[in-house]
Amino acid sequence: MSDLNFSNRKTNPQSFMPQGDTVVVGYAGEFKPVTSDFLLGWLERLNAENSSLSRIKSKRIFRAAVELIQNLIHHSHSSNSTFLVSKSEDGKIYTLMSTNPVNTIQADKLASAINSIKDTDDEDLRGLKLNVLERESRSSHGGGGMGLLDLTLLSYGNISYEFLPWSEGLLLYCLTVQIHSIPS
Amino acid sequence: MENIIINSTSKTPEVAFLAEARTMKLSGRSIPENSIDFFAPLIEWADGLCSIDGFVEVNIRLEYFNTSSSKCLMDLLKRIESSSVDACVNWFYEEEDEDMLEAGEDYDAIIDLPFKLIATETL
Repeated sequence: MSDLNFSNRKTNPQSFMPQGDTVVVGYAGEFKPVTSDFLLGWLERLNAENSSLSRIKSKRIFRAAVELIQNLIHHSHSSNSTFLVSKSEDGKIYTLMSTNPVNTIQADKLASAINSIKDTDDEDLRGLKLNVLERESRSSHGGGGMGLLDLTLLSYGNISYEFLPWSEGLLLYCLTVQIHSIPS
Repeated sequence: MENIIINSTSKTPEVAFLAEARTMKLSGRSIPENSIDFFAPLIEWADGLCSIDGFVEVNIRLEYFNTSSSKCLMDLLKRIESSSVDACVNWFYEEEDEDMLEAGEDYDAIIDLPFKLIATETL
């Protein structure tokens, strides 16, 4: 467990939001396909109404939201899961966050997976993604560990995690992805 | 062979797999929670079409797809690639959408089929 980022912050999801951010979409509870329909529909409508948000950035935010929410549907069966999108005061940075309880074995695997790709440059990440796409097997729902790779690429490496003390044998896994403006 | 025509939903693409025209078209978005359930019958249909000689055209005009759809899309294209038919893939993307252009380039790098990357104003 030595590689895990522990924190003693409160487990209220809003405490993870960057200072000055406002909430765009937030939900706490169990995640089911119907929850996903509602949250993604809501996010898409709000993005469409935001004339200062480019279509391409809006698509990136949406794609990141899809991966985070579907991750919760597939891997978290807890009513203590959350998903939150916030935006910075100037509207340039969107922060997407998911939290869900995990056991220590899952926490080690997640930390190891994120640490192994977090500081990889874009070109190498694309190579890794190609490799997974072409060769690796997948889970029963069709993914193959590509979600974290995709989130890292979408965010230009602005992906981070923390594990908070939760309950006996469980930690709260908090995954944060930031979508900045696309570099020209 | 029967055609497969499926209307788009908020999570699944419009599908037009036409046996007589020998074309397969996917358009819209593909973000189902379980992509295998959605793509399995399409892959089976493609296997059937590719068992009959003739040219096959694949048109992909996707706005978004999730990572599980990307694996299923790979399976579909690999089945066509490994068959004996001649085929081409037309990959349409919004002209400013570098993510979808890169996704098309990724498939082009893996799949040994003629691949056209076509920028359009809107999908």
